[in-house]
Amino acid sequence: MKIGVCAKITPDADARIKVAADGQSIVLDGVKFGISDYDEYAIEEAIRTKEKHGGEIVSFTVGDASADKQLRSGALALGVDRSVLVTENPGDPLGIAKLLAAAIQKEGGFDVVFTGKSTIDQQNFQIGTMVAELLGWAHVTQVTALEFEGNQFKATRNMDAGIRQVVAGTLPAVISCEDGLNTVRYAKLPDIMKAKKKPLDSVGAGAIGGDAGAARSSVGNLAPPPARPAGRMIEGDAATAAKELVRLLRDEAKVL
Amino acid sequence: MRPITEPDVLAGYLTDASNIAGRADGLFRPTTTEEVAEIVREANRTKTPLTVTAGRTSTTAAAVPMGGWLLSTERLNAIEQIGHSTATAQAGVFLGDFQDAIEATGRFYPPDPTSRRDCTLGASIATNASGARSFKYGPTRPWVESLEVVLANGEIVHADRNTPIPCHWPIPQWAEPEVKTAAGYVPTKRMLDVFIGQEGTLGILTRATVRLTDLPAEVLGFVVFFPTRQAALAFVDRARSAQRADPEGALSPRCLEYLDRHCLDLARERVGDVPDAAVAALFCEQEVSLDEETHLAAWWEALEACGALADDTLITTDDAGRENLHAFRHAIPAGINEQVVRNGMPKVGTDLSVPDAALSTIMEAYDHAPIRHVLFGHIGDNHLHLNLLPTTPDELARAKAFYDELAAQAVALGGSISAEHGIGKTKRDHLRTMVGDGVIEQFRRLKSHLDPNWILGRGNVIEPPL
Repeated sequence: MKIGVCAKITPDADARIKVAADGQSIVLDGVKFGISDYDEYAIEEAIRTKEKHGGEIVSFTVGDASADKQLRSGALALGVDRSVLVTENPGDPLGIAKLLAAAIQKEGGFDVVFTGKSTIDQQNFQIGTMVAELLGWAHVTQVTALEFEGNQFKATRNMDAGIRQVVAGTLPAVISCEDGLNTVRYAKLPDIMKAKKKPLDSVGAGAIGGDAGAARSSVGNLAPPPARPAGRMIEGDAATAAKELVRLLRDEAKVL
Repeated sequence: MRPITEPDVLAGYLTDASNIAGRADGLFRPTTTEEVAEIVREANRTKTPLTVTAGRTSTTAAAVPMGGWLLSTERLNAIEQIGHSTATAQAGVFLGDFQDAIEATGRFYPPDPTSRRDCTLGASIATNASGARSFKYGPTRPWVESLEVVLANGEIVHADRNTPIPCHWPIPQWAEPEVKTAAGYVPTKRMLDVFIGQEGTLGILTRATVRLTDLPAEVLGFVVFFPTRQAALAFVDRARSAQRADPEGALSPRCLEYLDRHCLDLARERVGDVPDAAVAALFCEQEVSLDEETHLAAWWEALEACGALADDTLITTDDAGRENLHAFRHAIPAGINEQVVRNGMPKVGTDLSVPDAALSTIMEAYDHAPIRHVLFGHIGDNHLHLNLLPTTPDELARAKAFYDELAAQAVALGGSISAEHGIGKTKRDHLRTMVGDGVIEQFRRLKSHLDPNWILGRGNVIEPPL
């Protein structure tokens, strides 16, 4: 099988995020970057698929030239065979999806492309769907179990209220991966060393025949959530305080 | 100030990680040093024992009160200053929170006891805490710049690195073992040192200024597997020599943590990724001081030379990955705790350290454990934790007797009966075995001089008078 996987470099999940002075971006100083958590599931599923069905894995990233480091340790060292890094900075998710679709098309011959269900920085939930639409392929979101047979796939996806839906379809397809699909493996020392020699192509939009086009959406402003108000101390002895607490829970918090 | 006496409130403060239950008549939660001083004066006047309680992560019952009052530092939790070379906070700030705030400015305070998220800055100093990174950075002591301390008479004193000890203080004169140790009062000429590692018995720490260093930009994390224990020890030897020769060299781990085959069984159950041939593993971290490839090549060479299962070495090159590797390491205590709960019996955990030359001897002694056990810990400092997991009262008694034998053997080998957990109320006998009656008497004189009514941390380190 020829397997593609889309991976975005985002701030680490535990990075301390501060809104920049322009109110539309975040402060990047001192922030560490890694592959977005859901994209790690996508990479793991790509590797498992190759282990089971054979083939080749190519990863695609739209991002800064410095993404090279994270791609080597987080994709190539784990089992991705080659990486394509499109060093562009489109203004919106559609622009990113157009470049990814162009790169996938330029490479050609894929049976399946994995993405995370969303990325942990912007949480737009759009890339997988847009890439599939642009390629004219089938697409399943929030996948927690997956099987291939011949040119057919069967994917289980999470819906609201704990309901699971099983979707069958024909390849090629874009599969967006959800937490629970797999457990991400650790890299091994020899693989990290070998990853340094694996091909990683940094290309511009022109080289893949892509064009992000004008952004159709933009960020208005970013704001941190309001600070949590200070706790309230209830004075008095235990009996009085307990009564007051019950009253507050019932009348103010309305949880009783 | 009046103490809180509600039994329901007190109930939350009567035990620590030792699971030994204590009793208390009242609880204070002061917010300022002056309030602490006022409480101490009142305790001293009325001769009421006063036990400091903070995160209650101690494994030695040091935070467990045996009557009297409790003083919780939970509201003394302000971070007051973070500069380039030092940072200052009140004693009750959580160590992990303090470190997060420091690291957000690009600076670094290295001491990392496993409990750092749940323990406080003050308590980590009062116990001279250490952790995995102590292999490179040492324990807490060298990182303390100055302290504010409330003495047993209510006097507030400030000690920095240059503050001498008043000439009438009877500082014990004895030779500490030349190993990692957190046992007994230190022989010192600096007042600052007197209050580091005294376990709340000589004064109450209310504020501390600590020294900072550069935050390492990148850290590599490794889990290395070995087909034999000898191979693991060979690698420890080699990595340790290299680290000592050049602390910033290509092979210069900042921590070397051992996991025995029983630990690996627990890890196999919980996280996988453990090769079948592995009987021992090392969890290691390497700060990137040169370029990454140079470090990786040096590690690879050393691992192959020592007969490690080098191909199976797990590695992470970023913070997020390192957190995942920590999950691997933390599967061990989680697995042990599950066993303890299942057994319905407390575990017996050792904290012995020995000189380099005695490491394999003490490890062979651990092999003779009479009941189910796991062995893990800070092998870079020859400081392993043997956890014995009894299932019956008889096994518990045998485990305790075995621990006593091991403590005596560690002392005979020139080691310490407590490398990092301190003495608390559970290891006073072992301390006596280590230092002898004469030195215990010296400890007693210092304690009596600074706290004539024996109100502070009563029962910790040395037995209180009847």
